[in-house]
Amino acid sequence: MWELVLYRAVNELGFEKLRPELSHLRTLSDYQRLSEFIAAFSRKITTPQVVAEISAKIVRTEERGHGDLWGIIFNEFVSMGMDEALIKLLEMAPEDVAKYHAVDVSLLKLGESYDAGAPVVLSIDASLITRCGRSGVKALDLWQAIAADS
Amino acid sequence: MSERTEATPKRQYRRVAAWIYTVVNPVIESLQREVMLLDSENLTWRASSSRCEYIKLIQEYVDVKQWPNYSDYQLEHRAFLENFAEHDGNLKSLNGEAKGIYDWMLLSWKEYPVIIDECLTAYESARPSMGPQFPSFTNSRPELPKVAAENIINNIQSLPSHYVFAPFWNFASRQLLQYRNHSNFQSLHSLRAMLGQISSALKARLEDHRLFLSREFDVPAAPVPGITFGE
Repeated sequence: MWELVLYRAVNELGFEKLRPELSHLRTLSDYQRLSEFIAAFSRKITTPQVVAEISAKIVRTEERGHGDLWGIIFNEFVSMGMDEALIKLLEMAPEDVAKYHAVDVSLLKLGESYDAGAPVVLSIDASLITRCGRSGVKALDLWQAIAADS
Repeated sequence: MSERTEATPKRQYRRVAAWIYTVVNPVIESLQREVMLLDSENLTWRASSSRCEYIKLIQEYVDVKQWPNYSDYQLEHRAFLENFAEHDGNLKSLNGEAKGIYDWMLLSWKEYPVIIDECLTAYESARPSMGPQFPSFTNSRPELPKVAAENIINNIQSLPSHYVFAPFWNFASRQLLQYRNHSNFQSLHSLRAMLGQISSALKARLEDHRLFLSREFDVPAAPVPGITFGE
């Protein structure tokens, strides 16, 4: 999500100072491949923990751009029809939280809660992907999604 | 008894640095983005707020906490007041014009719903041959005119695939964007072009002024670690 927001901020709206923050989406074709990959899913869901993580990233950027960045995030959520599911801390296994932290475990729990179809957790965190695999939740590294044929 | 020395006027390095770093630089940077958006004819105009989201009044480009520095800069550089007012006045006109066109499209332009219906029918007919990633938009019919009107105003050539309305818009955009040539759009185009010129000229003036201040007060154009403006 953060990468999608950064790409738009830099390339469509001219926030050049944020370009060094882009770690995965460096070219238009990277962006388009990820966009097409996400488009294949009829439902897109994230967790409030991820939103909080994005918030923490925004706090670390130049203060006067915060309003614009939140504007892009709101637009992105609306435009892609992003939904949110509340995963409470007390629903998470403490040992998982201690090891993978609350953001990753919220995504793991979210993936586990959808057994219909094939939910895919998209992440840049290799340890989360491995943990998802152990729970039978299909997970994909962002690099794989970018490299995937459309 | 000590000898009296003649006082020399104090050079106001710190005040000038505050102007450059909190007012001039943010405004130049923002105007650069503004010119880029106006060149691509993307106004970033939103129906929800009736204004351009990323093209703002000059003061809005300055951090709220630095508004006292902005006021101080204006007090000392009255020549720029006129430029800022010209920019802001033109932007307000542009916002008003965009709102007028949006309302005209949705409320008064009798052909518009027919055009949207034709595009929707063509899309729904072509959909089976395009694959599963092209959902039906029949149930979204009430939303389509609003989405399309905003995209036409903002000259959106295509939407990223993961956007909900991307399949429909990317199918119909070529046809719908042609309506930007309608005579009712002329005033919007003129205001956009005028704002582009104003913004571009203002950016150049501010860059010249920054250069003057840097030379006159020996203040770098951007903060440099290790260089302070203490006594």
